[in-house]
Amino acid sequence: MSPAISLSSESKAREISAIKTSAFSPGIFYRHLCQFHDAQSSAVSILIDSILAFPNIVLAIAILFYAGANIFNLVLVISFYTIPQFTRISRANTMLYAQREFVVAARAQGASHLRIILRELLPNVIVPVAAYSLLIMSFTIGLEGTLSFLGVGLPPPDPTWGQMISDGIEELEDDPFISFVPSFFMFMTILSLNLMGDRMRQFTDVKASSA
Amino acid sequence: MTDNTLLEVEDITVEYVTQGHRFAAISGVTLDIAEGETVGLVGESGCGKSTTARAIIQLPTPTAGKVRFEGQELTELSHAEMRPIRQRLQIIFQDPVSSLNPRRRVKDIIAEPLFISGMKDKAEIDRKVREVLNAVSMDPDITMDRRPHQFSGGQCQRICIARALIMEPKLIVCDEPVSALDVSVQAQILNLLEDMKERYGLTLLFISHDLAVVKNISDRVAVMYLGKFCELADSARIYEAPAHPYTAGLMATFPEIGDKVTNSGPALTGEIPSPLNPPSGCRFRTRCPQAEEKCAAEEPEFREIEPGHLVACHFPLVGE
Amino acid sequence: MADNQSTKPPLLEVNNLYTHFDTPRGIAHAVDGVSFTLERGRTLGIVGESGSGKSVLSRTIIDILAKDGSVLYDGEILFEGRDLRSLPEKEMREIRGREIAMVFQDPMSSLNPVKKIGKQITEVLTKRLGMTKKAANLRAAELIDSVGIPDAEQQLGRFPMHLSGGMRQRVAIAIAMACEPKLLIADEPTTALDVTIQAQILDLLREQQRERNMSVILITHNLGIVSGYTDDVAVMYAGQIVERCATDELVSHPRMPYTEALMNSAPALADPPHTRLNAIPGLPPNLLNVPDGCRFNARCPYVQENCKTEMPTLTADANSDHSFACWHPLQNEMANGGASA
Repeated sequence: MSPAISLSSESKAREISAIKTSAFSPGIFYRHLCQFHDAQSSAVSILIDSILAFPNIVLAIAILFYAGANIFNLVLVISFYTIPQFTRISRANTMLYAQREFVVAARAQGASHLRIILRELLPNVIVPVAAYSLLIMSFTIGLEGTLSFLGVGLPPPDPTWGQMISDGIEELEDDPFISFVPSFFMFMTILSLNLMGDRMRQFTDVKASSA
Repeated sequence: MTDNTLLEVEDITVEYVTQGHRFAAISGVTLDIAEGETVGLVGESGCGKSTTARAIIQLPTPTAGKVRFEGQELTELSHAEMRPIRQRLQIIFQDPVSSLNPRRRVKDIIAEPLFISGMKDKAEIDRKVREVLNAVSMDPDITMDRRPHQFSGGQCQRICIARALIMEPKLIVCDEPVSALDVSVQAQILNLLEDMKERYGLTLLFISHDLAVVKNISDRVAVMYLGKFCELADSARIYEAPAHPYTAGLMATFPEIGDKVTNSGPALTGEIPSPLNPPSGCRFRTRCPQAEEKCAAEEPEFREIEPGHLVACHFPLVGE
Repeated sequence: MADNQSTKPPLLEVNNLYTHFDTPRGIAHAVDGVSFTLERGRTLGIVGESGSGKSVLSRTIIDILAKDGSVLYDGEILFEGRDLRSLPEKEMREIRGREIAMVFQDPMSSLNPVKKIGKQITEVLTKRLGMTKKAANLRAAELIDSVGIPDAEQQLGRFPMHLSGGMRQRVAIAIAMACEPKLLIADEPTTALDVTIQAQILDLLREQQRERNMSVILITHNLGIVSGYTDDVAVMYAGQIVERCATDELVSHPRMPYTEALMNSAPALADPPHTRLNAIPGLPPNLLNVPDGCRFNARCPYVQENCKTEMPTLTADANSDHSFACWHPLQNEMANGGASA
């Protein structure tokens, strides 16, 4: 099938990813604030862990089926997956950096909690989180593909890879390319994002680590 | 408590809870530091010297006891109230690389205390940063825009010292500032600290496990063991006539160039007991070559055996 | 030293060893032309600061550096006459741990945190020496006892995390001794330990060495330790040995300005308070970009023109075992050819 359609759905995927990225910010910021308050931190951890444990795909399908498959719901449902993951990553990294001596040094200079979060922790935590976000993006694309394939993705005329693949299943014998082309593009995109994310992680790990 | 006493530490205790047990990392620590002097604090792991350093700067506030700086009681102050005081009471840490934010530029790291105190004038901030970098013998033009990972351990420690100096403090707590550095770099940093002390009129509390380093830089030395002081005296005196068996043991085991180690066993046997479960009475009795019954039954008082020389031992080696 | 020669070759002979790391930023000359010998039953101290190459040297000898092609070697390491560099990995594995053992600075590096102490020792005994389980258990208890750990039987069942640093190091030594090695390499074994424990561990190593007539390479940055616990010493700077002699010689008559500077820069317990220290100015050279001539020239108080252009080689005076790499060595008080102290 024509690459034009594949490309436009790619831009759709990008759109989704962009929305996704804005969804992760609340996750990490809240994490930071909780860092200094252990009790709350545990409560949020429990909440996040429960979300992670929940069979999200079932919830996703249910919401999209009953509330309608529009872009808002789709983003909402994808958030159930990604916000907990971002939260965990930023929590782990915040805890790691919070123990470093430069944070104690900042306290010793009289810096307020907020200042420490913004000036000391955030610039450090954002790095592994950003590297991880590329991986999350590729996951999101794959997830959206799955949901569309299952029939609960965005309805036509919005083109999505998952939809195209699912449409092509019936025609697999006669015209395999209907499924293969979008699959191929999806595969390449996910692979690229994964490789970039990995590389970025490697690169930033080395720089961020101290002697 | 004379007129020029800058810091009064009175009977502080810091307790921690670990694995369900409550234990005191330091207890009953009392010390006065006069303006312009350098007091050394020496001891091995678990003795509580770092805990003491952190307790003095109220990070965290000690569980019990009082800390008075420039006459003002610190333990009851909130973090915001402590802020102006922190400009005059600074600390430098053991690991110079870890004490610097790897994501920030050196000029911002050093200027941070100025930002916190509300200074906004960029030109003034720049001038002050340059001044203090020159003071620690680092070229501002090369240093200011770089990040910590581009510098060696010794250079990072200079940057930390610059950061501590920029607000022109009165007292700097030095928590093992040279322990992580090579021997030749140690000497540079020790000389630098002495120079800075003179230039800025500083008072220092110098913490280390290295006896020779502590003696070199201090006027008076305090020895700690398992959270308590065992001895406190003038530097020269404590080395020529240690009164506490632990101090004597530390000095005997210190490896010096030119020492031929004799075949007799080391001066101090045994392991350092866990702070979670310290021995009854005198904490040092389990390793003391001259421990007696009284040592297990009664904890010795930290008392003066000769002018300016205090010791916590029932049978001190000197004085009385 | 001369009368110690037996007709057998020295236990370890390192000839012109080079270890270079191929990094993205260039070649790091970590070990750059090192030669020395070690006789049976003697302790050689290798002294140097960070970046001197002492740790890389020890890891090169037992070949535990990365094997992905990023490490370049040259030269030979003759252990009892066999060149370790030419051995296949299988044979090297036989030697490693059995004939040459190593103790590291951080005892937790050599100990498996999830295995009991006893198991870690008996494993070595059953796998490397082929002992039966029963015999291995007995021997393990003996070993733990011989390194000065009280209640040996009880300790066998504990995990490394429950032991103090000093105890862990003792266990690491016990494991190293399990196969009765001929050579023990101790890489800063006491740097991470307290002063009072340090003395105990060093005394233990010396005791073990005497009992087994083992050779020891003791790597440290602390000249005090070298002075008290070694027979011979090699001083390293920027990847090269710059002075090599008997320890007593080094302490009393150093010839290399770096050695003298190093000794003078450390505060001495006997000095009065506030003695100004003779700090060595500057920093050690960048191993990626070593300077021409003598590598210490930028920091040497006695530097002269030829020091900046020609690299001095390690040579000894006639009738002396004291070698140094310097164009203008410090004057030996006995420099008129007499026997050394």
